[in-house]
Amino acid sequence: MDERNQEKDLVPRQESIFHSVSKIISSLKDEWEYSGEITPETSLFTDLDFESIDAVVLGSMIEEHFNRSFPFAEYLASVGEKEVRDIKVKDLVNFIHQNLENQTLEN
Amino acid sequence: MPKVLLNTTNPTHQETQSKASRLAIHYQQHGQGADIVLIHGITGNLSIWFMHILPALAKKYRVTAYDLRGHGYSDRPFSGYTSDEMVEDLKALLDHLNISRTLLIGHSFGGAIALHFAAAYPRQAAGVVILDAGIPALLHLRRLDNWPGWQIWQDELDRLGIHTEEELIDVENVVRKSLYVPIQHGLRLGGARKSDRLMQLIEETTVLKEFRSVKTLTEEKISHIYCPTFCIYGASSPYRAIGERLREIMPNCEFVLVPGQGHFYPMQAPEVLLELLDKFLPKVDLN
Repeated sequence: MDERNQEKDLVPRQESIFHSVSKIISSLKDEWEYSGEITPETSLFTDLDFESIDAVVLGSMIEEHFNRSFPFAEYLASVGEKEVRDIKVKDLVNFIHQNLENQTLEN
Repeated sequence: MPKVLLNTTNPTHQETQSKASRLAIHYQQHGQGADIVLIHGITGNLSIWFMHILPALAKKYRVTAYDLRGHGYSDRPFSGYTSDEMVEDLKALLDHLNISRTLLIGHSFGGAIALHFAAAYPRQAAGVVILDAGIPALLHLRRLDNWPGWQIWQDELDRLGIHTEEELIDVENVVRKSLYVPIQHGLRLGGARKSDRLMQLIEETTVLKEFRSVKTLTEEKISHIYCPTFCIYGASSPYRAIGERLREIMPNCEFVLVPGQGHFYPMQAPEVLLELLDKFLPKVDLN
């Protein structure tokens, strides 16, 4: 499956989240000297050479963008317990989507 | 990302002149309640707290973590890396955030900053928790050459393929070499610790020459810090004797050893630290 198809598999809401997230990542990109395209399959640590601090900052910028808080610290801790300690952009998009949905239900 | 521009004093390399300049300090704040500030050490950044310690504390407290000057997403001035300058950065940050009273938790050099803050601004410091810190005024106690635990560390470095030989007692060298030890904890476990950002800090600033300078945080000054202080040291850490000395000279100081742990136990055994904090925090009047 090429990247374009994978992108199509995301539901519209997730697609718009994906665009926001990749925009935020691009805005930080000069720090990382990464010139490739950001796709849902891009891994933050392996492909973008993230350090933990970059993940923390990305989290805070996502909160700023959506103007609400997400349980990023818990999310990072849960990733830390996995065998493959990395985050694909699509995982992050799912995480945001899920939390936005939950928060909408709560309100 | 939350950043604050601080008016701060950056000494030039001539040391005689100083000029006021603006320095951006990056911080993150989570939770609600009484204030706790987390201070990382030299070559670290605020992310060391994010895996376990910050989320656990943020359930009950308002926790502020920040990047020291030169580190993480804060600005990287050429000089000004002693606890004297760092404590003024912290003071300006807390004032900006309207934090009038806080518990300070510092790891490694962050512990020296926490202690220095309590000495300089006693009314603002509700208590201090020192996590395996090397305090510049007490560094003579860290006898790497005849310290029995040294062999353990050397064995560990050997196992990781890091060869040091007699230059071991040169701290600058140890810090440089430690960048080649794979990360021992957290999300990037096993990854390279060396990064462009870290190399720029080490090669383009005076940090390694400066951070061990005593300047105004003397042993005498430390002995007049009266707030509750909790020193938690790794039983096999080279800094252990510094914690023991703090207990002797400070009027209101508890000292605890974490068995089987070294300098980085807060990240490697965060559950042990959180348990100890649970016992200590009720003794501190945070309000």
